[in-house]
Amino acid sequence: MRNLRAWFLRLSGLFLKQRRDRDLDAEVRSHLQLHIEENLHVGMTPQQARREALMKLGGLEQTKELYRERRGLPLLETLVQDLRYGLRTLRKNTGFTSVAILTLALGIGANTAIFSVVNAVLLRSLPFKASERLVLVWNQGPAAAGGDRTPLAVSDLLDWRTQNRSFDEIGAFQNRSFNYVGGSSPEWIQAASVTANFFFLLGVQPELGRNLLPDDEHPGAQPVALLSDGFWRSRFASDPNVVGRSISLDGDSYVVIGVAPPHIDFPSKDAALWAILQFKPPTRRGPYFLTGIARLKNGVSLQAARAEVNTIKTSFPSGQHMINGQQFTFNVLPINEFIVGDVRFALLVLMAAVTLVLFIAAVNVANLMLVRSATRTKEMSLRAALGASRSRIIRQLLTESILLALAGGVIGVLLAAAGARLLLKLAPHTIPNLSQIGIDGRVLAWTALVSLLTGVFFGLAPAWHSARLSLDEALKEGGRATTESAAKRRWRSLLVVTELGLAVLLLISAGLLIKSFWRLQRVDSGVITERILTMQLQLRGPRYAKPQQLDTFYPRLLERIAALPGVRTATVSNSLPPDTTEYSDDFTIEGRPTDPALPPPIAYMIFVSPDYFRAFGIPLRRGRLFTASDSPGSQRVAIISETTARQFFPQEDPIGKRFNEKGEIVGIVADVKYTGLTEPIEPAIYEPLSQAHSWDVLLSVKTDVADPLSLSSAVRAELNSLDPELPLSKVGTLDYRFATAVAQPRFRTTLIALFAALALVLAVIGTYGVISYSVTQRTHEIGIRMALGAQAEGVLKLVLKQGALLAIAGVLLGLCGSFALTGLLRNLLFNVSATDWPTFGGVAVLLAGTALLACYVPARRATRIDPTVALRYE
Amino acid sequence: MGEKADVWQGTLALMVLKTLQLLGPLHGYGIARRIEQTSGDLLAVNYGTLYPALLKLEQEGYISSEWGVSDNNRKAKYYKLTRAGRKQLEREERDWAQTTSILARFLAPEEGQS
Repeated sequence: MRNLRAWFLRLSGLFLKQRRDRDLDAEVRSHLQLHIEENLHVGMTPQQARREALMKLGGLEQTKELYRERRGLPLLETLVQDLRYGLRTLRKNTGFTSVAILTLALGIGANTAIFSVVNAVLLRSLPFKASERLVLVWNQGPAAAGGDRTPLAVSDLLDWRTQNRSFDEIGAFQNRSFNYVGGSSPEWIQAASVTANFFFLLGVQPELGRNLLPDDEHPGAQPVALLSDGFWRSRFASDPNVVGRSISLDGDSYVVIGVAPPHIDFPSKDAALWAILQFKPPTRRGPYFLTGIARLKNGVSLQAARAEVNTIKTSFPSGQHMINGQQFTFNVLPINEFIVGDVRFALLVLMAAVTLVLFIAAVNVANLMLVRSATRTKEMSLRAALGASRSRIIRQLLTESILLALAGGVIGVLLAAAGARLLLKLAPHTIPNLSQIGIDGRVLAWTALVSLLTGVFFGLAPAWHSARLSLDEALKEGGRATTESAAKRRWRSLLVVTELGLAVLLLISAGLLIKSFWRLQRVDSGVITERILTMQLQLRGPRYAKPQQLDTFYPRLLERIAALPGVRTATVSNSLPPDTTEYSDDFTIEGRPTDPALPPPIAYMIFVSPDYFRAFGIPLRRGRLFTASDSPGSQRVAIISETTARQFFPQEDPIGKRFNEKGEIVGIVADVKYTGLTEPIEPAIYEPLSQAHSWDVLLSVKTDVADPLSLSSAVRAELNSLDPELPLSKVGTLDYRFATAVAQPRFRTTLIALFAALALVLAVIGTYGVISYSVTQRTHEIGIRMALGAQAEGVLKLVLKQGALLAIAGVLLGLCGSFALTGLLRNLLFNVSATDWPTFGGVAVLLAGTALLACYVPARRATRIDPTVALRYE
Repeated sequence: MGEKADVWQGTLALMVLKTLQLLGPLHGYGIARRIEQTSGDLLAVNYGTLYPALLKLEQEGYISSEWGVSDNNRKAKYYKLTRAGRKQLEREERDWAQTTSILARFLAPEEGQS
């Protein structure tokens, strides 16, 4: 308690120093006076009296100093002193200060920018209650069925609920779209169908109205829906009376029961509403369309739940469906993994890259400081002579470095803020929480921390060096003001070699990613993508309830569009390269019993209009394509892809074989990528739309014009004339769809390439700095050499040799480091080995070349040294 | 500096408090003089070290200060004991007595043993 009081008073002792000093002076003076008077009284002479009193006091200044130390907080006071002195020194050396601050700003700014992305995407907590206990669940099936994320069937959900022991609550959802009629014109919207406990699982309460209830799930009940906040604002103008209104979804009447709070971007950012999922008790295992969502019981670990869940048995065991076997194999994934799992690795790689760049920048500034410290040796020795302890000097120099770093940090934040805006424009939409990337409190705190650490990092070595000077060495009369110790020279060379090595590492990483991306873009997707306009159609409602209506609609539409000027061919299909498919299913081949030992015959089912193959330039290998005569009444036909033929008809000719009991295989076409550019090709079976109907199709128009989008209004007009109420969406080009598929790799490759370029520039500047300084140091020596007959060429070689040694050492260091570390990037590389020799070699040459080029300038300068001047140079 | 200084500081503080209790309000020089005398001139200490000690006591609230006038009409800063200081003095006196008696038992010659 007393101590607290004392501390407070000491804090206040920092202020009003002058008045308190006067007070102290008065007290000390009065003390001396009293003492002197007593001495005079005893009989001393005035001089003796005064001397005795002063001696007894123990030194005037010392007493005052001790008193002042007790009065205030010396640590704080010296800190303030250091800050003021530091600011003054930095302001005097504007050249050094501005270069240092700029370098630091680039390094810290890049760091801040990437951290702001990491902050928004990885560190932000989800708006759900206890999200660590929330998991998503899928079946684990064969690749063609969806692989790790094969959807659940209704029967799976019910079986799981009955036999569950590990979860508090189990629900499910399905991403889907609806033809929404509620306002002026119909449109199709993205939405989700959910079980009644969906929001309860998330721990989210509606903002308006009520939550879904179990009763809403009954098949006969009035279907209900919860609107998203964004949808409510845009389509209903935030009408508080929206609860109770009826809307039409796919022709069915739903009642709005409430509005969800904002930023619930689950299961998708674009979900306009959540509609209740109603299902009747299932009579078979399929179809598979649900994603499970559940909350772990308290105290149950993820592993325990995973083990338990794989002991659950299905109530429809049979060998004849997509996912064989009686027992489930579920894929249980924490919700956080689901949302950020894809991008986490790439972001961490970016974070590592940007840290390396900062390290290089800091090393440059450290070198600058070492250079500068050579000119301050006299100043430091003077301080030491005046009584400054080593730690005091180090503290003062560190304060300067930290000031530099903080200044760099402030400018870096500004750079990052501008850069973040650019980042948002370039970033692919698949990155979660994209809109929340920005500079917030946590990002600023991170920047401050990074600046502080950087300041300490690059300031410590030079500060320690400066303080270690011996007194006599520096105060020597006529001593060289710019002597450099061997230790310092070694440090700087070591730092430059490290810089170059790190730059090599970054450049190789960037090179590998660039090569990988280049290869990705050149993957043969199996189709010709140019000049194809695409859009999505969804046929809902009574007009298209019967398949026959589709049979009249599609051909008419295609005929009219094909007649438009500039159009070569038009086609509709339920799938589209590179990564859009509708569903996959099992099929049977005549004469072949289902053998449980072999993988089940599953393929992606692709329904197309007859001109599909022509529109995309998919070559026919054998047999024939679909024609207009393949109609609902005629023989059911199918065309298979090469992979399907290879996998399921290895020894025989598939043409003519019967499949799925009624169909006949009539042709084989070349493979097309439908499951993503980086994934292997899965089996595909094509059927004509006239025989296998689909209500969700993609319209593709092969055009002759350079910009297919210019025809979109004409196409829209044709659609409108056939059906003014038909909504269409996702109008774009096939090239655009392909570009979107590689948006993420493009994004991260661009960023890393940028950072690598920055690293290269910084490292080369650092090399230049060191060699340039070294030339200045050796002016005297070079003058002697030239006086003794050395030619300009010889001097050039001398300097370049020094530079070459540094460059080679750096490159070797970088190559070793890359060899060891690029294996970590394997997940991000496509068709490129992590130790791709051409890339390694190319980067080595690039860096060595640029470093040598940087050395050339000071080398030239060295050749122009006038020996007579140099010899006098000290 | 270090531990010795702290111990010294503590003893000095105690001596200051005791002096002020016995003699009433006194200025810095007077306190220093008195301490020197009482210790029988065994403590030849710098008077200057007194002032930081006085400041510490004042910061802790055990003494208070006021400018006044001495006998010979000289301006001087007088210190006096506060109530908290009085209590602290009593406490410290008790502690010292206890410490001394315990130590005495240890350091006294053993009886019946050699």
